Amino acid sequence: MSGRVKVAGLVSLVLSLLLVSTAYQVQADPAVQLQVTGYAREMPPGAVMGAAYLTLINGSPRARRLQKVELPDNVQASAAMHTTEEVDGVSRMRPLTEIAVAERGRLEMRPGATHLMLHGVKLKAGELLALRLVFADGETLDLQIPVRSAVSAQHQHHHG
Amino acid sequence: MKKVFTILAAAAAAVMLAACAHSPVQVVVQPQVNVPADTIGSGYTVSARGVNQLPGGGLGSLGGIYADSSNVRLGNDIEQSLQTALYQGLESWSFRPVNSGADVEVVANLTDLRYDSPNKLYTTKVDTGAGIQLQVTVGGATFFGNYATSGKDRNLIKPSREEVQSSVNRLLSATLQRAFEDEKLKAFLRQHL
Repeated sequence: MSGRVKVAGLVSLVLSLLLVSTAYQVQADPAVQLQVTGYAREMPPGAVMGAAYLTLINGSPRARRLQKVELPDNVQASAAMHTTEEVDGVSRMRPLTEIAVAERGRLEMRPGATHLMLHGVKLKAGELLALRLVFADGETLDLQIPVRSAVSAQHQHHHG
Repeated sequence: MKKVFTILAAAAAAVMLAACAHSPVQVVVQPQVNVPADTIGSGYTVSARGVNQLPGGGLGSLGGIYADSSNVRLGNDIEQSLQTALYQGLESWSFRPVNSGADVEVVANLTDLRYDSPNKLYTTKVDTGAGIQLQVTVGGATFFGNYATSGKDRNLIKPSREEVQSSVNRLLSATLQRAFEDEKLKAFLRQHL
């Protein structure tokens, strides 16, 4: 092969490398879905604590760990995660530092089981309560749940 | 022979200089979705909006040793573009758009959009990505969906503004499209409407 042919080949290679870029590839990451429904119970006059119940349906291929619930519209108020346990025939509330929702799993809060205790709020039926869910991976989700009267909340519990 | 090498060296130097000193480019981002007609939203109203949650400073770098980390910038109102794309899809689902008091509220938070090259002498690979957190509220029920798409590209020369814009739009469109193809989202709407 002559020197001229070698140089022509080299020039051709350099030009093709410069002008051609490889095919563009798009890759979709697994979708992470979460459905949240729920309600808070109307508080009777004079009550100092309220309660709310959420149902979390995790449609993701990974577990979610709820670590905190905040009330973004009321800095004086707070929400704590609790569960109710029966020990020696006595029901006791126990604070939870975390609530896990398994991959493609479901967690349903309800009276007498896992629930949210709300401090520093006054809840009236027909209002909306803003909540912020804070997960272990740092994700925060803001949502609103309705406040229901004791009667409709009971209805929700039995049939919802 | 010596002459040919001189020309080659000059060409290589020109390419290096081009890679070093990329000037900022502004890209117009207008995602598109192609959603098959469905009656899922028939008789219901919807309001939709896009929210830009990107950290400030641009989408990334075109690469090159002097490249600024924010020399790919948005050239339009991305929140408006997202809203337009959302309505495009939601109208295909037979929803009627309204400004307020809608039966269904849709918010697309743009959490990631990047077109980035390493700050090396030659631009050889491009890291691209788009991420959206979709929030759909019907009454007291809320659906959250996180959709992300990433892209891999290779460029040995500085990409043109059109190429960058095309890549970013393709990624964001693909990401939004996934939300409209999410069967769990459709099941959620059917359950709560």
